[in-house]
Amino acid sequence: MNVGAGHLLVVAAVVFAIAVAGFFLNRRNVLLLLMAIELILLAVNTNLVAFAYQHGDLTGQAVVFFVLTVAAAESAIGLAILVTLFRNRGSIDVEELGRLKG
Amino acid sequence: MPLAMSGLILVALAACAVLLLGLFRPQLAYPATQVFLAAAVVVELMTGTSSGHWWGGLFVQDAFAAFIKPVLLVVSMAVFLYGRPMVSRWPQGEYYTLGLLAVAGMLILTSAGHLLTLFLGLELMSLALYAMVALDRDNDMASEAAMKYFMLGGLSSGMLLYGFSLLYGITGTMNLQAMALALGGAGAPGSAVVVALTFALAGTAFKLGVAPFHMWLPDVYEGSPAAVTLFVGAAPKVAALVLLARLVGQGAQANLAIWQPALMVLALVSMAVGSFGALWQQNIKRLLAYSAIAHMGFVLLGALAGSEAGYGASIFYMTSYAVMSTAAFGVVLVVCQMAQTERIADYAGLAERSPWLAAVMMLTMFSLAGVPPLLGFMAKLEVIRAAVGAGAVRLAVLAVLLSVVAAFYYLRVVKVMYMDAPTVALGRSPDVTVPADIKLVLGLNGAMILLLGMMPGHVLHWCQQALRGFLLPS
Repeated sequence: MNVGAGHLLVVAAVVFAIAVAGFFLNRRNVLLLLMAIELILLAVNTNLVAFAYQHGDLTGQAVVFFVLTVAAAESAIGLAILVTLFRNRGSIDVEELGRLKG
Repeated sequence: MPLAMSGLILVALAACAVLLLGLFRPQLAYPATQVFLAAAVVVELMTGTSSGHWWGGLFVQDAFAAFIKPVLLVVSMAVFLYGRPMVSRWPQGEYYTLGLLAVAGMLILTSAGHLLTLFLGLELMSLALYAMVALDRDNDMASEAAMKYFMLGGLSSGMLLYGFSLLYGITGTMNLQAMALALGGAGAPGSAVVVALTFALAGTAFKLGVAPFHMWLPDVYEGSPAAVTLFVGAAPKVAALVLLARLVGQGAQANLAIWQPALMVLALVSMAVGSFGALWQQNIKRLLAYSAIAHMGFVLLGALAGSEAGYGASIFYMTSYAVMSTAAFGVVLVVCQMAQTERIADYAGLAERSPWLAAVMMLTMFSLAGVPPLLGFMAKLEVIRAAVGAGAVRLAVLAVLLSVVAAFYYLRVVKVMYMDAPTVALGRSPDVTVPADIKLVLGLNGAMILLLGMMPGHVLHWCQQALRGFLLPS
């Protein structure tokens, strides 16, 4: 079987759907939300590579490097916020994130 | 290297310099920030007119960028000034470094003619803002607000980026001008464009804080320390509108039929949620958050016309909103210093305690409500005129009716300040001297709301000029 751009797009769409579903269905741990965000960016990267291959254009592949870098910076900041939250609350439960309401 | 980049480079260098100063001479971080920003304004005004495209559209300088960049810089300067007393209790170098990085991100975004720089500028701004919200490390509520902001912001960036990747797949280019031509051509498949633009619009709506993508906004406004809320609520809103204008207005200008109905729905829902949601709020920051949601709906009224005049009206509205929001949060910050309170009920008696402060707040509230001689009225008039011009007459009527609902809660703040007896918080608070420069600028800010409302001609003209040549000739 030949694996073409179409197959990659389907994989990316499935990964994206899993990530978004995971983001909204998860009611337990904030860390899982961080993973879901990473997964979304990975789906985007797969998409970009597939399209770059399809168009025979290198822009998409170059952009992947920038997205990867931003994803790394984003998870660093996310984990730092997670640490301050844990120090203040003693828990990283999603259910506990409800004190601001109105 | 394009000359028009000098302002951006200066701000980026300032971020590095202020980070170092924060380590060794923290008390110099604030003056250095202001000096760098003032220099950047001068540089932008001098070099902004040298327009052009560089590196395949990665960096673009046009009349639009030449107008927006000084606005962003001046608004940030006012924000840093108002925030100074509160920030002096935190690690100062970090606050100003993050602020300058966010400003640099906004400048990149403003000059983006390519999806890559659009994304990178947006992320540089957003990442700095997430960290800024969490800066007050022992503040429980700020940590929660930062977590919510980060999670929903990260999700929205992901959606936006997924939309970008689909647009790249459809058109084979990331340059916005080439993309506009490709999307307008016969070859673009309709349904795929709909899906791509849906994702991109959803991400943009998140960043703009438009209902139904507004869930993060009230919590972030309430949970963040007031000095950070002030920053988040002013310049980044202008930057989010720039994202909309560049992406939808320029990149997808040929697909008006797809995104115009979507923007209409977003505008209507946003105005309704913002107007009704604020009615029962007790916290002034939360009230201003819902007010922001309603105002973003009005901004969309101009943008949905999809014409240069429509975007001109939107930019005028957003600039006016930035001026009003800065003034409102400036007063909130001073009251925070005076009485350690954010409850609206505690604003009672402010008119006796500090008449000038109450007067500035009153002007701002009337202006946000859209009372005639003030800036907010002219801004509303322009966007409603643009919406009517685009044929959205029923939406324009609904907008006027909803702004009447919103007037109720703005007037409530004025009533509390002028007619209610002081509560314990303000009545017994010790005398706090407000620094003279903050007094002066806050007064000027209030005067601007009044004077620009009576004589909006120049600013309106600049906004319309800035949009000339923004769209491709069709």
